[in-house]
Amino acid sequence: MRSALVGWVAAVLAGAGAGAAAGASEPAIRFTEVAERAGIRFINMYGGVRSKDLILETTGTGAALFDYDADGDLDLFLANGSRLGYGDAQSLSSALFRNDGAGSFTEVTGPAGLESYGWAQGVAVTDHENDGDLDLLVTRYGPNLFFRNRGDGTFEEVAAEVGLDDPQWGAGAAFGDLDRDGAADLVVVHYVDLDPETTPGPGAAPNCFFLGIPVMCGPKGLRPAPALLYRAEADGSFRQVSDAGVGAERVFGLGVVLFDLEGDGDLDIYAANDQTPNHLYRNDSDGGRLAFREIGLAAGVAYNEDGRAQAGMGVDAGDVDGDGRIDLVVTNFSHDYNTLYRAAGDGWFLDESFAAGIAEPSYPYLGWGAGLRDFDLDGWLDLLVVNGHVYPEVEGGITDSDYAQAGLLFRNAGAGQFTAIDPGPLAAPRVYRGAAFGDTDGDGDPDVVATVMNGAPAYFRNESAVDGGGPGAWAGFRLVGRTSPRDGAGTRLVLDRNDGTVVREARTSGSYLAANDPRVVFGLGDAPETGPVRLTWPSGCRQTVDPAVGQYQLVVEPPRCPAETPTAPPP
Amino acid sequence: MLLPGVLGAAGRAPPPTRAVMVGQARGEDPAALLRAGQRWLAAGNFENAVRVFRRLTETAPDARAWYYLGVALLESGEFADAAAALRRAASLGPPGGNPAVAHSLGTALLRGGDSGEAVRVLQEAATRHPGNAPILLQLGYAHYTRLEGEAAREVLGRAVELSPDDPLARFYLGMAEAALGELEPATRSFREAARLAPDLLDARVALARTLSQRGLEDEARTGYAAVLAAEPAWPPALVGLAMLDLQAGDAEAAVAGFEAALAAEPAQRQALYNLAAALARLGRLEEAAEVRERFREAASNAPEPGRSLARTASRPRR
Repeated sequence: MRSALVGWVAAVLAGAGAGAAAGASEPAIRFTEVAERAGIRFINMYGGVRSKDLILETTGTGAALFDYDADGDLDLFLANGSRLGYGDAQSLSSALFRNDGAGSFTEVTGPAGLESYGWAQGVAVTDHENDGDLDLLVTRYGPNLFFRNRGDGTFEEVAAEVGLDDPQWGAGAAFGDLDRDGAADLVVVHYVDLDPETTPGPGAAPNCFFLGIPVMCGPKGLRPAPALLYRAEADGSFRQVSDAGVGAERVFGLGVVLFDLEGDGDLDIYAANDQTPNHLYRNDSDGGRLAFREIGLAAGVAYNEDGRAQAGMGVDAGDVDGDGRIDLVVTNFSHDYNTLYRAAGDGWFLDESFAAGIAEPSYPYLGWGAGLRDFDLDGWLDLLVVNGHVYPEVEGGITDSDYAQAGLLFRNAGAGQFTAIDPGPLAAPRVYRGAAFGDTDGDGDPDVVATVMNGAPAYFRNESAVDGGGPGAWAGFRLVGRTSPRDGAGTRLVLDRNDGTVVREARTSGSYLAANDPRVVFGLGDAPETGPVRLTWPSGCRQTVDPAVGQYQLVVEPPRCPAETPTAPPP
Repeated sequence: MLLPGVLGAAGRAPPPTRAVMVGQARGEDPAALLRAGQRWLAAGNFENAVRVFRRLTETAPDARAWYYLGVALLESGEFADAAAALRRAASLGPPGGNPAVAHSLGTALLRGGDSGEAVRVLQEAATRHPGNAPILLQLGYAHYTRLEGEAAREVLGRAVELSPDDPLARFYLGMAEAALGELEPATRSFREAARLAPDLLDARVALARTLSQRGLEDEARTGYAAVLAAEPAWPPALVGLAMLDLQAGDAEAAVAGFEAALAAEPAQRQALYNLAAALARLGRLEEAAEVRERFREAASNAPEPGRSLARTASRPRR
């Protein structure tokens, strides 16, 4: 483990001066890794351990933090994979863990009916029937699985019944009410149109080497795959929509996030693609008809500032600089940098990765899961990235890269200026992949569950609330839609403060192969006195509420909010 | 400014041997052939140089003849043949190996795409000739092209220690440091390379870019401006300056800068990509769309440059 540790140590040293200059009273971000202690006993199986013959073995699996039993706390679903040549009997099942409310978990996979095998990939969560019970989509190499929540703590698999059993190699997936009809639609990005029978083995073709080492082939040289858009129909099924402008171009899709590009109230789609340009689908839907236009190149988020396609893996969205616009972050391959696309207005972005401070420390790492979250509750979105190489063959000092890598933690010192800080237990090298973000212990600060390829997951409990100077005050919101989707995903929340405006969006998508906490938390720092929060629901309904400090406030969409309520652009 | 790998970079050519006498016996004067070939080589007429050195290898097939043929082939872009000739020279050379031959062989392998074998050859030569800075420089560069940033930094650091006034060693050390994301050391290396060789414009552009990446915009701007004062149509500097304008919100100035860069290099990818963005920023949407099409065409016609290693600069000018 050379470069990864050197990288963050150097970054920490580089950041130490700035931190010291800023003063010792600033809240720290402190995590402890407690997976085993918290009862999350799970082993991931995903392809070969010391070598990989097929690209299928490299992408890993995701996780979901979601309240499956509607008891108010986040439970955990961990997807699992397989090995080449293994059947179900030799593979390990995906697993569900129930949270006791304080961040201790008990496995309930069997009783919940979630035992499942195969090459699972991503996880997405929605309340499909708006019945108060969260349902679960698992993308796979092979037909997707869709687990309908019966509402009694058990699930039934109904992918074929509802039209979600597409057999393509699905990766990231995101639910959101794209046509604003009150039902969550779905977008799934696909990685490779893979035929194991015709894919060459390691070293068998020019695209099957890394720095001269024979490795699995691809994705270059293999056939990319299109994204798929599904519309939620009134009868409870999903219908593939091929003429809405999504998926016209085949790419190596991995990550996806839904966010409101222009503050116009509808959800747009941003997909991180590996070795192909990233895609931004602007939502031009009208009158219930789904319509998108791919504008990644025009918006400045398809390539980096050099006009070069990177190797996008994970993705997240959030207003990092407090200007009311949603910025985007993408994790990329090693020997490259993670990219921050800062929204410059009018739907246009600038690659400001270096200026923001996230580029330089990321070079040694191959990034996957990423979350823009206010870990220290000071009102600014910080950034956490988990890393791990795709080639086990790089281990052993043959190359600069290590297979197992540390995570990266960046503190936002304000206005989108990030400093790499000591990541605590994330410094322990692991072959990370997915990362789900959410407040698992109800203390307001976001925790992280990260999947580890062929290993046990890591559960990073955010202890910033306990020590390290303590986080600021916070105000949380748990949303319940009526005309809008019941889980409130897609709702925009705006808090006016003396020092500016804070914008947050309720969403479960983002990171890598993950489903995240849909609740919204405003970090208030050391100034808990605040004005009201203005909500704009996906239906267009607008609502104003006074935040309750130190707790999650239940906010229900008004029953008779006119659907035509105009939505104003953000300030 | 010569790239490493060209004639005489790593040491003297192999000495003449008794084979010269053989050539003389055939009626051609090997010494005259050698002189003629060297003249063609120096004049940049590599085709003629290859022709003459081939005759030399037939007349006096010693290590020196094969070495010069290898160098001429290398300069002609015939890397596989160059490597073969240089291997022949190595086999006829002294037991310890001639550093010039090893250096050129490593260069031929590297340019021919066999960077792994280049590293092996150069590593072996570096072990035999640990005080030979050009070999270390080439070995470091070979590591660098293989994304082996740490190895590149270590080897190039040794090259700098041995040859602290070599601007190329400083420049490539800076490139390796930048590739590792170590922008402060890279800044120092580029600054020193630029001081040692003010005409090495890529070092000055790399310095400006690194300063820009570190948020030192005023210094970066001054650096680009100085490069443009020396060479007004130097595309990397025009693009760098235009990028600063774009980031500062001055889209008009950015458009002018990108267009100037494209006048000099019509398929400059970064300029096309960001020109489209700047035009869109100004509301010139039709022009932006047209430039985006040009970018797409450029992107489809040119392979993706290497990952971050291509960020800072191209090779130094010859």
